[in-house]
Amino acid sequence: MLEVWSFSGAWCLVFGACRKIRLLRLVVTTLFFAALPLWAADLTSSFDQANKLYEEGKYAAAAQAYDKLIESGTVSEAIYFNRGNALFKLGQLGRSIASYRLAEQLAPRDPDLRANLQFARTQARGGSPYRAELWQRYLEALTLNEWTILTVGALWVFFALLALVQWRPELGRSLRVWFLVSGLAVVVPGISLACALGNGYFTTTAIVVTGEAEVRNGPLDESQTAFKVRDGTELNVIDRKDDWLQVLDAGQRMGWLRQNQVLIFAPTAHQKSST
Amino acid sequence: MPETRASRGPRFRSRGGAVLYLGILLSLALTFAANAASFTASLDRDTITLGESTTLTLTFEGGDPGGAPNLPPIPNLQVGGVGQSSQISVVNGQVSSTVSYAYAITAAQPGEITIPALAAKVGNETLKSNPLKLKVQKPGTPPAAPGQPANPGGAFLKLLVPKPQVYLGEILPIEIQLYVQMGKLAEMPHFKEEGFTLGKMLQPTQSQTIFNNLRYNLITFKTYVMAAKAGKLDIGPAVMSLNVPAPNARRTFFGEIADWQTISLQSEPASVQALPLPKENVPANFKGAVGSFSLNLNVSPTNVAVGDPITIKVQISGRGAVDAVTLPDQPSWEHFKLYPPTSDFQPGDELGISGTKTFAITAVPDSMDVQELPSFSFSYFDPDQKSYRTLTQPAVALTVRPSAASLPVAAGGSTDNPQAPTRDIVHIKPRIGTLAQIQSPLLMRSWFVGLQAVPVIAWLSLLIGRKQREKLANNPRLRRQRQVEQLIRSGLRELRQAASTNQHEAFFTKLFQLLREQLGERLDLPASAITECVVEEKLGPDRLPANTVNLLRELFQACNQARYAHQETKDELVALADKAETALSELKLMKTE
Repeated sequence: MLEVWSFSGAWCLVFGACRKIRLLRLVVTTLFFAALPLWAADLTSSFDQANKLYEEGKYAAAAQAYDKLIESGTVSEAIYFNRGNALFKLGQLGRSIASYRLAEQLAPRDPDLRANLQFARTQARGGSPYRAELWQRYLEALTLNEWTILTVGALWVFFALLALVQWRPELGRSLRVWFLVSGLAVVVPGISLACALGNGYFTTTAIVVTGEAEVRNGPLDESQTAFKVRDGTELNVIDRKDDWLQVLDAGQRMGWLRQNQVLIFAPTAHQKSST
Repeated sequence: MPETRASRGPRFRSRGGAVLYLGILLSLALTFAANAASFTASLDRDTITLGESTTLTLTFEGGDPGGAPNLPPIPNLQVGGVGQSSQISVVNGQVSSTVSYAYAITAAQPGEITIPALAAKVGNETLKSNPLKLKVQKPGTPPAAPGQPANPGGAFLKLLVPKPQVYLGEILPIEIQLYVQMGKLAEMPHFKEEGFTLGKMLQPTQSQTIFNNLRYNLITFKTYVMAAKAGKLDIGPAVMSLNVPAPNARRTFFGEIADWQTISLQSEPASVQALPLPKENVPANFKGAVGSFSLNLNVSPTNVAVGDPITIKVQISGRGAVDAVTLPDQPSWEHFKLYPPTSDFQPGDELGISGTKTFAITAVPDSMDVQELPSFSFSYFDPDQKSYRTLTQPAVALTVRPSAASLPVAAGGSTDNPQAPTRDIVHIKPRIGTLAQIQSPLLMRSWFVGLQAVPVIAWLSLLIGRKQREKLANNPRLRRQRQVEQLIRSGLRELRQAASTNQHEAFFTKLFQLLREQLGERLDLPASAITECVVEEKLGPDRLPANTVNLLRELFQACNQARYAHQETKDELVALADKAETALSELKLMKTE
């Protein structure tokens, strides 16, 4: 009797354990999906609260509320966009431009975003309209991922044609034109992709966030001032030394300025505003 | 007297040449006439010590008085010798002539001497110069550095501070004068900065002077100081090193000094009393500017729509720490949205202690009720007047009209024309939208990069397969070898199956086929030509081991016997299958013909 019990008992325990695991899994899954709408509602509520502060003209509080959302790991184009607006209203051109640029990564073709970024850049230039150079506008016509997909797609087609010729060599002559077309389709977007990578991903941008920053000839406070840049100016970072950054502006002027006067814009980083 | 060619003047071969000559004369005459004569007076130094001399230069441009003008008697001024120089220059066709008369003058007593405007007759007109002021200081003994003899190497240093009192934040220009008869600069003069900040030092100027009846080269260094704390501040002594000829110095073949020695010179110190700024009647918007300033304000445009920016240019000029001037807050501008200003400084002198600083402020009126830009005021402390002063620019009338600029730009509005920016930013988004994370580009993800190897691998596989096919097509023996290998593999399976099911006929047929195919492939003979005799003829001990040859013979004999009588059992068939496999394996290793 004892043996029967011990044999069947063990199976009962195992069977019971399996049942318990399945039950536990079921409970956890149910709780997760039940909590999901609650979590989403909480996010929306926080977002609406931040918007309300903005509408009341409390731009500093609104910017902080958007920051809290971002710090909690919740990001969307609308959050970055609205934060950019709040910072712009506070007169913080540099930080607003940085926020708009982060939003641009999530929705590069939003016309409202493009309009505000253009407006902020124009303000940063003291009213003279901002206009990117022709090659920059060409590269910005597509996002980095779009250039990648275009290039890779053409590459797949090219290799597919090569494979087809290996499988059916008699088709080689008739596919010559297609080879040329697909080759060009690889080269042209490929070069554009390389340029877009160099200009966007591998270039660190520093956005000035103080009213006026002095760019000096050397990384020392005693160095002579080479030129001055205002809030919102976007500079390319070439080198770093201690707290100093060597930068290049749109007019190809080079100099050094303190890191605490700029916001370093890395495409994959979250930028925090401070008012 | 007969008329000579010389007396009649120049003759010309053609009328054109005459016209050209007259034209040149006329243009020269007009040029001289256009340059009205001028007369200026200048001193090479406006501060000297009693016993020193300075040079008064009278310069005539565009005219010549016909000799050195006689100076009127001036109290306390003694005039020495006079020298003359003249210069003619042609620039862009304009001819100008300059005549200068230099008088060496000395003073009899310390004090301030006013040289009045001098009059000189040039042609038919009487020209007047500008008046000048000359300051004559009391004499001092030339200072000697500790341990150095007085006038070491014929050189000494003087520190000149123009006034004994300054206010905090006031710029005080100072001069360091090096008197040297012969020497070379080893370093710039320097002194300790305690209680004040020192400005930049200009490159020195050089002149000649007479002091205590000795002629010196006078090197003047100009800089400025600004008191940083109140109280008595000591400036200097100024110290510098100088290379002078060593005693009994040798000379080179060209007469230059060969032996030099370095001496240290030290001036007498000077002290100033730094006064704190008065605490009474301090304007509310005073931000620390000390000096003498003027204010100018310009606003454009003055007719704008609500939300349109206006540019306010504030220009502060004067003498003092102009570059350090900051804009005061303007509380009355509360109805304007102000953006951080930019600034630009244009120095008025080499030291930078005078100049003009221009601020550009972008302001946006926030409603149509705004009718003017309120007055702008700037306060500073004037050390000469010893009081605070406030400069005010009156209010500027503005016309702020209503427009659609205050409405947000509709979504999907024109963003294609970057030349016409929207007048305000687009309003915030009401919905949170799709949540997402900014991720690294596809090209930076390893799985994506790995995925791109797929078409390459596919192509390479097909390429290799094609090459293999071409290789086989060009090598019939290899093709046959592969076919026979395939045949042997499948044939052995069938053999075993036939053995296990005791199918004699199928077994021996297959066995015979496999032996003939393998032997035919190895010996490069058609399979149908292989018989037992081939084994005897072609398979000598040098090609196959004797055991294998015997095994083959046994298998062939078994096949022959099986044609006539089936005697083997199932086990025997299985054993034969094993032998066949062994024999075929050995055959496969045999070298081909």
